Amino acid sequence: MTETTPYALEANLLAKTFATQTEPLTLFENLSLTIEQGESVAIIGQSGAGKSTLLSLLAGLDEPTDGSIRLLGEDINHLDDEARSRWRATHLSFIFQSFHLLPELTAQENVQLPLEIRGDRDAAERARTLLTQVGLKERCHHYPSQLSGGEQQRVAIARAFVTAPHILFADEPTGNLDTKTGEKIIHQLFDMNATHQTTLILITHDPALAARCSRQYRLEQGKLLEVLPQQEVATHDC
Amino acid sequence: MIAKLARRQLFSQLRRSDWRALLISIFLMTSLITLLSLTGDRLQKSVAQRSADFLGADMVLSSSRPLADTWQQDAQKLGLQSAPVIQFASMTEAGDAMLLASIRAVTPPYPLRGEITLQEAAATTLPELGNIWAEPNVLSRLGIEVGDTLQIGYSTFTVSHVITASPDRGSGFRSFNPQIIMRSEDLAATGVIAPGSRAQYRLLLAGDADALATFKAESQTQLQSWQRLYEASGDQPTTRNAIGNAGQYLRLSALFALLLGAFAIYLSMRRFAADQQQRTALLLSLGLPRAKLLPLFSWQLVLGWLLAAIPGTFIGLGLHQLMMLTLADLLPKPLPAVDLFALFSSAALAGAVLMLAGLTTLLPLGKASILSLFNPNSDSTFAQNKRLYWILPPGLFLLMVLFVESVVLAALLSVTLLLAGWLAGWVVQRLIHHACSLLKGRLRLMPLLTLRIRQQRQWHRVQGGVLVLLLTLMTVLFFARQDLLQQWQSQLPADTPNRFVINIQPWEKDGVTEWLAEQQIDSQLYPMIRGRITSINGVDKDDAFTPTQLEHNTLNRELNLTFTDAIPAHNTLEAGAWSDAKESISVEQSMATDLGLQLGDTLGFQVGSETFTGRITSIRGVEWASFRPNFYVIFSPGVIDALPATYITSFRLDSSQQGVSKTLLSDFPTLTVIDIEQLLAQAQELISKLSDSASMIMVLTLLSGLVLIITIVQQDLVKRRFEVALLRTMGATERQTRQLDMLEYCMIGCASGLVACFISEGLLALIYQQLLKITPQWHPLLWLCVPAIAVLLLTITGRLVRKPLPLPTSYTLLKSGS
Ligand SMILES: Nc1ncnc2c1ncn2[C@@H]1O[C@H](COP(=O)(O)OP(=O)(O)OP(=O)(O)O)[C@@H](O)[C@H]1O
Ligand SMILES: [Mg+2]
Repeated sequence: MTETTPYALEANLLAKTFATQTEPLTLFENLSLTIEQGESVAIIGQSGAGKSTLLSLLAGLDEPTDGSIRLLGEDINHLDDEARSRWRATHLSFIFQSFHLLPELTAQENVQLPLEIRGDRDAAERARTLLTQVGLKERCHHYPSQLSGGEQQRVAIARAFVTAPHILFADEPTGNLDTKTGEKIIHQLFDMNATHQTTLILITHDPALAARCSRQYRLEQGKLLEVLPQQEVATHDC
Repeated sequence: MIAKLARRQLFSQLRRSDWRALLISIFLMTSLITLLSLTGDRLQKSVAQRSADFLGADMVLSSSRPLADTWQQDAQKLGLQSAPVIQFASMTEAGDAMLLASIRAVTPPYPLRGEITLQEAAATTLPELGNIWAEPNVLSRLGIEVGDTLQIGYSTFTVSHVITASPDRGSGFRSFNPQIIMRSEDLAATGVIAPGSRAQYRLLLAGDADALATFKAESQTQLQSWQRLYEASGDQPTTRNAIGNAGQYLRLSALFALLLGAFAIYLSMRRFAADQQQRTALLLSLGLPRAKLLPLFSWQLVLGWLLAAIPGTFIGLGLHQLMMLTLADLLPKPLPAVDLFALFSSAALAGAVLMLAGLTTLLPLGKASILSLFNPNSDSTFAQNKRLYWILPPGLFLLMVLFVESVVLAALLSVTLLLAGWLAGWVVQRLIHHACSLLKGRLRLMPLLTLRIRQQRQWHRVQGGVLVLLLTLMTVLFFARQDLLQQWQSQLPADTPNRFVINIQPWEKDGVTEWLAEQQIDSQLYPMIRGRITSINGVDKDDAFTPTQLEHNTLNRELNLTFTDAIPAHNTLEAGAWSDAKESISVEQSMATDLGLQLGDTLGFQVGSETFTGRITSIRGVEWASFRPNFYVIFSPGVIDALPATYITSFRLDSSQQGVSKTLLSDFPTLTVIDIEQLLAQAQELISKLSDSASMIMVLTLLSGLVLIITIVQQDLVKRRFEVALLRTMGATERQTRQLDMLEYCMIGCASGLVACFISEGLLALIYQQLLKITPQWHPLLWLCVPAIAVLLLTITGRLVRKPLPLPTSYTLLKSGS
């Protein structure tokens, strides 16, 4: 290997096939993708195209039927569960459409959670810092039920960034929010992305969000096509 | 159409854990309660049994003294059939073997109702003169067969038939001994019955109802305190009796089972209903009329109830028969028939609980909104009707009242159990909390565990409460049995007497004393005179004592009086001093305390028609379990010396002296020698048989408890799966999440185990001191085993319920956005 920094993500000839009762369902084949560190990439596509499935493969949560994935130069599919989990805890983070905050924990405790899985000592302090960064300093000790949807997603963003991950995966982060709140969240997300120098890979139906990314891809009939800025106007119906 | 849909739902939902848990809870609840209530019911009835076939008559006059002939003449005048019976305990011998048997000397016609069944039919209705009929265990214990002879007192009899069942076996301990029937014409020659001998004299009566009623009315005024008139009618609940108590205990266990089952049914019902929300909305959106919802779910519940309750009832019945077989020797025969009402009441009970739980959880489904289909995130807005929940506790309470047939008992029990459970659960949760803060920073998983502990605290309380109650129940039962058996084997001092000799007649007194001296046995004979206490300081006892005091052993029946010229060496002087002055008495300490007797008080006594008084000059401490003749009241010489008495003594024989009691009996054939070791062995057998049956109940209770714990663990399973999925994406390993669960279960197990140990030790100490009168002791084994068992129990259930969550599934769970 050369001295240059490795790619954030290198996917080579990926294929995913699900075995079903009737015939096997192939979502995609020979799919390749390279993302450099610090980039932000949006994946769009029709419902059922396989976006979420692709994301889970890229994040090493599921195994491809064929092909290989390197994250930060590491082939994590070759690691055992233990090592892969540890790797995930240090380098990756997720944001979900429905926030997934634990209802019995306060905002701060929710943010602390990933640090505590790693066994970090200064969890509480770091959690507070991150909550301040997303503008929820005053709401540290509130429970999710006491927060609005947008605020909950901000807590989720703080939770995602608290471990200082190298790559952040987001699956429709604004899907459950109204347009206005969604915009704020997008703002927040890219703000944090800039501060933390994180690689961002997100799935969205929201053209505004996709447009803010440095690159956009469309997943269509098993192919991943790069969307160039002029094409975007024609396809913003999805 | 609805029934078909319901049937399809019933089977298709068998794959669902909540529906399965519901059916299993119903199944276990019915089988356990069937077993308990059938057994309890039959035990209690067998004690209270007064059917004509059981008594051998329509009416029985029973007396501890010989009955005057006038009774029988009166009966004859009224046109009643009558038959006198004398029942007594006596030694029987055959070769070298001896046995204490319960003998009935009867006169034909006997019995007046019911019949004696024999292994081989006999030509006559009663033994012929010189013959006896005996129960199988008489033959087996003496090692003889039909046609052989055995000795009763001075007479020898031929065993001509084996009895399989007979009415009129007598009550209480009399009915436990192996039974023999002989002809009363043969009785005098045996010399066993003499004035003062312990025997029960009965007059069996039969005839038409009017004549019986007249007899009853006429006799009412003539009945003495030692006489009772029983009628072969309704079941009179008998308390104060070992078997009666056992029956009561079983009903209480059944009540506990009822609570456990109801709780499990309610919880699984709740989960079931919550998950039916979407399904209901869907059915509604597909055009099912709202009005059909209730019939649909009712049908499904009824079908489910049938599916679970019917096998439950039969399993319960089977276990009950098994238990009756184990206890066969101990129970009076013939046993009352299985009560169909009791048989099906538990299934009905389970049905009622199901209805109650179903009503509160399923009715709100009628309000399910089709809109919820469009907003899948609204599972937290599960339509609940808070007011309906208020039906559940009073409904359940009503069921309990119906079940135990007593408001007070039901209230007492449910309040005690709930309070104890709640308190125990609270303590368990606090313990877990403290353990967590102690362990903080020592374990990598600790912060996560702390969060888990906090978030699950409600359920931990419930689990802790249930677990503690279960463990305590089992521990107390197990150790009480263990200690009791051990105590009897080890605690008696080496010189404790192991033979009692009773029924020594006055004319045999000197002979027996001489014989004892010859054998170099150091023992004293005590006269025994039966009398009653009639007054205190000149006031009639009925006026002087409270109703509870009147129930005291010394007041509610005849007691044995004796006289000596000093306090017996095996008693201790607690107050006052022994006095030889005429009419001085020494009373036993507990009697003095319970009845509030003081030194100087004067007690009035009646023996036969004689009355006399005694002034208390001393109070004695008596070790009742010393196996020496012990008396509540001892007179100084000169007051009761002339009254008819029999004598009693006890002494110790070593194993090398086995032949000695044999020679005593050949010299004095009418004495009754009681072998205490044999008696203890019998008692041990009795206890172990009883506790075997209790273990059976325990295992079933434990199973229902386990099902309840599983249902509790399942309550939050969906939430837990989400939590685990989230932790996994954050980089927690499968092993970590498993360890987290196991650590949690270990902590609940440990904490519940410890609390259960604590309560058990307390209860055991209480039982030992108050009931068994033995010194409490620590049980180190208990402190080791109970927490270990609790941890094992929980981790196993946890493992059963918890399925590993693969990484891809984790993601699928989270992405789907519910
Ligand atoms: N475990 C599985 N077994 C079989 N088929 C699956 C499995 N997981 C996903 N699929 C199928 O793969 C396809 C793609 O699913 P995926 O969730 O990736 O879609 P998506 O592009 O994220 O859609 P959406 O925009 O609605 O979230 C769907 O048709 C789905 O039914
Ligand atoms: Mg998706």
